Amino acid sequence: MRIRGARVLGLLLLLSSLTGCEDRDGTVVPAADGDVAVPSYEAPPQAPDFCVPLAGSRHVSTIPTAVGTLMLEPADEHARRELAGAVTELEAVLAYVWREPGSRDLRPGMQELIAALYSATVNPVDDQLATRIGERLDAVAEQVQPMCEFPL
Amino acid sequence: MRTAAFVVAVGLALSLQPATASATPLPEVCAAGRIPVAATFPLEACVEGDAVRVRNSSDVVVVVAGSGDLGAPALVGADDGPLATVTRLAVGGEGVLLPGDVVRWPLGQGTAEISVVEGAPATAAIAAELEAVLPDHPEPDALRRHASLIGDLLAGIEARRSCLRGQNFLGRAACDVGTAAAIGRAVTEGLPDGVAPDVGVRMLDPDRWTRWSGLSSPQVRGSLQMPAVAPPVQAATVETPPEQGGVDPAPDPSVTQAQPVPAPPAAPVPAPVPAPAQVPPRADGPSAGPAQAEDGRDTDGGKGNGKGKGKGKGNGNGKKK
Repeated sequence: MRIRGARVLGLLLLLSSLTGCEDRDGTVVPAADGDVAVPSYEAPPQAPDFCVPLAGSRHVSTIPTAVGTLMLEPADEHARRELAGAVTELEAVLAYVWREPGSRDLRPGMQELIAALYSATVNPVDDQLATRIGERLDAVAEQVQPMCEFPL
Repeated sequence: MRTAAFVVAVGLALSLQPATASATPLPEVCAAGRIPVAATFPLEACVEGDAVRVRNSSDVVVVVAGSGDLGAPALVGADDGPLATVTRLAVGGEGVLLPGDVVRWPLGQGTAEISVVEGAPATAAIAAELEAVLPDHPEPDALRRHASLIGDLLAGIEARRSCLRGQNFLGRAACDVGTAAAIGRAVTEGLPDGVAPDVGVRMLDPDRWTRWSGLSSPQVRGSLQMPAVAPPVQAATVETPPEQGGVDPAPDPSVTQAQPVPAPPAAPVPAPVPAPAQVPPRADGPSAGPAQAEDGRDTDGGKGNGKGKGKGKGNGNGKKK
């Protein structure tokens, strides 16, 4: 019983770490349903599997503020955690992309976006890196749109 | 004592947000002996013999431009505090009127036109947001840097607005990264190190960008046309100007008109302004009303140096396609 309870607790902690955000004190703050990138997204019938988890992202929309904050406050841990959360989410999406042969062309763009975001979590964020992140986001946005048909 | 009849005709005056504009005459502008212009002009205005006064009676910052036979405009008793100064510098030009500001134009004898060409509520909102970091007694250079920063922020927000069109959430995030980077650059370059991070982080809010972007549209527009001064001793008749653009030019029973007057030169304004109503015919006889007999325009008023002006907005911070 004790072991099962510990497993459940561990699972809950894992889930909260994936879906929630930490505040500046390091406390995990569960994200509200409305925080997902595309609430009530319905993928088109032929859409690849990665569309749904991508639409459920909770950190993509925080990337701009985090990038700007790190340009001004390089030591801002909250902003770095936001970007790290985006990296984690997009890596999970990339795992779907790898499993789908029809989405092969998307792999390099997703990998470059993840690499740029990861770089911002470990390096100073300057104009060049911010521009790179923006360009990679834009490239992925264009590539996935015909497949996922996200609302515009 | 001026004996020439004076004709004031209000051109097409449109207010996209009528609640923000008031044409109610206020004592300090429309004192006794002055002719208040018709209420369809979006700001309060009066003719006082040899000059016209316009008061920004709206609650937003506006830019007014004069053209035709007008002298140099002068602000009358305007607020010259740091926030007001920065706001004027950020909007740019002589015709910037903060809420409550009064500007006085000397009138010549020829036709003249005063237009409210632009609202600048976003500039004012950003200036107010940055007021907390303005020094109490800033040097002129500091005020100029502050104004320049506001211009950069506005450019970034304008670029974002066009960038967002037709984008999915990833594309919108890309646009916002560009805006955030532009703001980061502008704040770092425009403010001292000690205050830059605090100010910058306060500015990094996409919801706020959206709100400011929505404020960017001009909210108060209109024009006021003043035909040439009539000769002093001749008969006059009243003729209502033809209706145009669906807006009545508020015929004034005291207005005397007889012959058409050529349209005044168009003011070189930066944004489309609703076309004013046709200039009413020139009064070529003695006044039919007592106000005109006493308040005709001065024959030695300012000469034709009306200035059209506007604000070009560079916005090279958008997402590259």
